Amino acid sequence: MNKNVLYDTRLQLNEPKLALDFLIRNLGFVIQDDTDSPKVGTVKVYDRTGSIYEVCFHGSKIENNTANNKIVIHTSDCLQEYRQMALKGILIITKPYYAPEGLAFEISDYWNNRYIMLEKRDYTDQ
Amino acid sequence: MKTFKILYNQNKLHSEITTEARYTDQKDELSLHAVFNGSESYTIGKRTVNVFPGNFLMLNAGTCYDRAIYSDAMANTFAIYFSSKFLLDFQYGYSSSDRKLLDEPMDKDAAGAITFLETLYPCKGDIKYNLLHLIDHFNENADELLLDDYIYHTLLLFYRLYDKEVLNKSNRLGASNAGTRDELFKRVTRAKDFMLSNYSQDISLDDISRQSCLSTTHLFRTFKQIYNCSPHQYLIQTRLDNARHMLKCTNYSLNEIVNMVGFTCPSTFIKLFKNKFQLTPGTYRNNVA
Repeated sequence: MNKNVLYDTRLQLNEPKLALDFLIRNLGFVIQDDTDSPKVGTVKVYDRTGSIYEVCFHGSKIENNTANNKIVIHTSDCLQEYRQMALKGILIITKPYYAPEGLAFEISDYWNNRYIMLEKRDYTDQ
Repeated sequence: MKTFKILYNQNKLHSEITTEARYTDQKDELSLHAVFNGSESYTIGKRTVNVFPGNFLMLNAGTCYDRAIYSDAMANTFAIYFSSKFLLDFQYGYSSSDRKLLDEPMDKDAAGAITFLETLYPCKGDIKYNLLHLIDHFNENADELLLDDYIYHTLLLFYRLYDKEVLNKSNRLGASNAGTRDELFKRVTRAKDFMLSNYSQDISLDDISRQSCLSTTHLFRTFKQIYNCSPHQYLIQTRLDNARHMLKCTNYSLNEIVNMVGFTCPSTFIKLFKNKFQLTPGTYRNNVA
């Protein structure tokens, strides 16, 4: 696990339990068992690639999310992830597309938080 | 080991890992042939094309060819055969506007074969990533719909690559007549394929020009127009790219690699490698180990 990577991920919502449930059940996150307890209103989780995120719960539902509020989550296989999420009925915003960093698609949760599922690809050493 | 699968929509996947195989008089749908270790040789009419890691070969539906593998190391080959219906549907979706696709979801006028220039294309970037995922899922016997997603994306990337490698590059030729331009481009790509297929041999500009049916001066001039470098520079670049692949993926010694990629002098190789990649071969190998 890459414990050096810590993303300050701010999820805007007022139902932390449901939000965490979404992250765990749909995005495969695991709550980090950490003795260094996080600040009040935050929780540390890690994804399947081992990247650690500090999730801060605050605010209320977002009406119109913009590109600036998207949370990037890494995946090792974008198309497989896309198919699995479609089967789970997750709200998919875009089809997989080729970005400069790799292959990606976007999803949304119930509170309009936008997530970019990104399969990072190295184009420099081919 | 040989694995073959026909999907629900008649697309086919074929994987083979072997040191020796020979198939004659093959004739299929449009097909993509890639090699991830070792090499594979295709004879198409009088022409022989060797596929190494780093390139893939596209063959049109109906092309008759022989395929052979004779390799010291285990050759790892993979092919996709696109069914004609899948290809026509894809082509219609790719080339039509969203409005047209809504108004006429099926292409009523679809007919005839879709053909591409039968040549070697670079297998790198997204297309390489997708093929490697596809092979993994194919070997795991994954859901056919997932395999199909990867086949669709591979074809999508190939169409983009075709625009870049064939349509854009052939436009660099100044020939006024489209037929002349296409024929000239085809002959220059034969020169390129000859170099990619025989980079390990001692080949001269005369050999290359004979293969392309162009005079040496004509080849030199048109090759430079298309690829922005001379045939000799292209050959050196191919040798260096293959040497880098070997440094990364094999345990061959530096001297063995120098010989295998067609250089005669190790010190010249080291100098050229350092000029191109800003690292000596030894440092590169240590960094990627």
